[in-house]
Amino acid sequence: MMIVATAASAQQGLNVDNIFDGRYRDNKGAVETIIRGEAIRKYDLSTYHSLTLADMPDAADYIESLIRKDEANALTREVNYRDGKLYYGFYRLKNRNGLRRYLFYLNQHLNKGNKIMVIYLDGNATTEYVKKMLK
Amino acid sequence: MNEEYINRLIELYFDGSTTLEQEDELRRILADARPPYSPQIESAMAVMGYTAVMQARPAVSRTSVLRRSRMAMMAASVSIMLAVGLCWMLVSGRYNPDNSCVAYVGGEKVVSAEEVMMIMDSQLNSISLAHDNFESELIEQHQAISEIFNQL
Repeated sequence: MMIVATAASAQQGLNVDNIFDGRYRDNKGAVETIIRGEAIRKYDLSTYHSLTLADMPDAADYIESLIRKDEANALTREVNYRDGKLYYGFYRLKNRNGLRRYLFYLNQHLNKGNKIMVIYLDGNATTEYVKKMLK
Repeated sequence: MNEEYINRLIELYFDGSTTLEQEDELRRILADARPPYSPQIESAMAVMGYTAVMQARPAVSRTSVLRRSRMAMMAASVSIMLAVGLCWMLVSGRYNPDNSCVAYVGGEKVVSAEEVMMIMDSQLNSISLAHDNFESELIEQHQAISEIFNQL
């Protein structure tokens, strides 16, 4: 008897996938977090995937370009620019595999900080509920 | 031994009517026969030679058949138990290939769920501050626009 399980990731098809492929994992200033399933279910989410890069300001231009490409297809966006560059972005992306998808971006280098942060979320949580997670 | 007797034995053999003694006798006669062979003797030689080869092959013993059968049953039982166990784990949620709770911090893998969730909380806290700043600036801009319209 063979049991075959397949799961198509809702995260696929995004430009930010390029930074979530593990290429930064071995960097000293990098933190990549992957949470799926049981641990994140209480937030009505299926996936939490984040990348934080500390003291790597040179990576900002590239990551921002990926975010801008995904932003083009976003359903809603809340953005804040500083000095002509993207400082903060919160995007509700198009659903995939029946899941709502969200993207957070933060470039603290534009506000006296030292981190670039990208967070991808998907699940059943509404936009309002996701914002409540930030409180 | 006359040819008529030999042919009679061969006839009985092909009819399946020979006794064991008659069969042994016929085998001895054919072993001692010298060419040229009559057609009846040639036929008997061909058949008895085939029969001798078949009898020389080792018979599949009832014991080995039973042993193979038992092993097949055991293998089937183990497979069924494994499948049932895996199904139970899937249904009970104890095994879910989609469950993951891991962080890579500066190249080091962190698998403690508590630590990973703390990392998540920290990241959401940073985002929260930026989000609050965004909302504050949005409110300020809205107020500024409202004042402009109020003055018109």
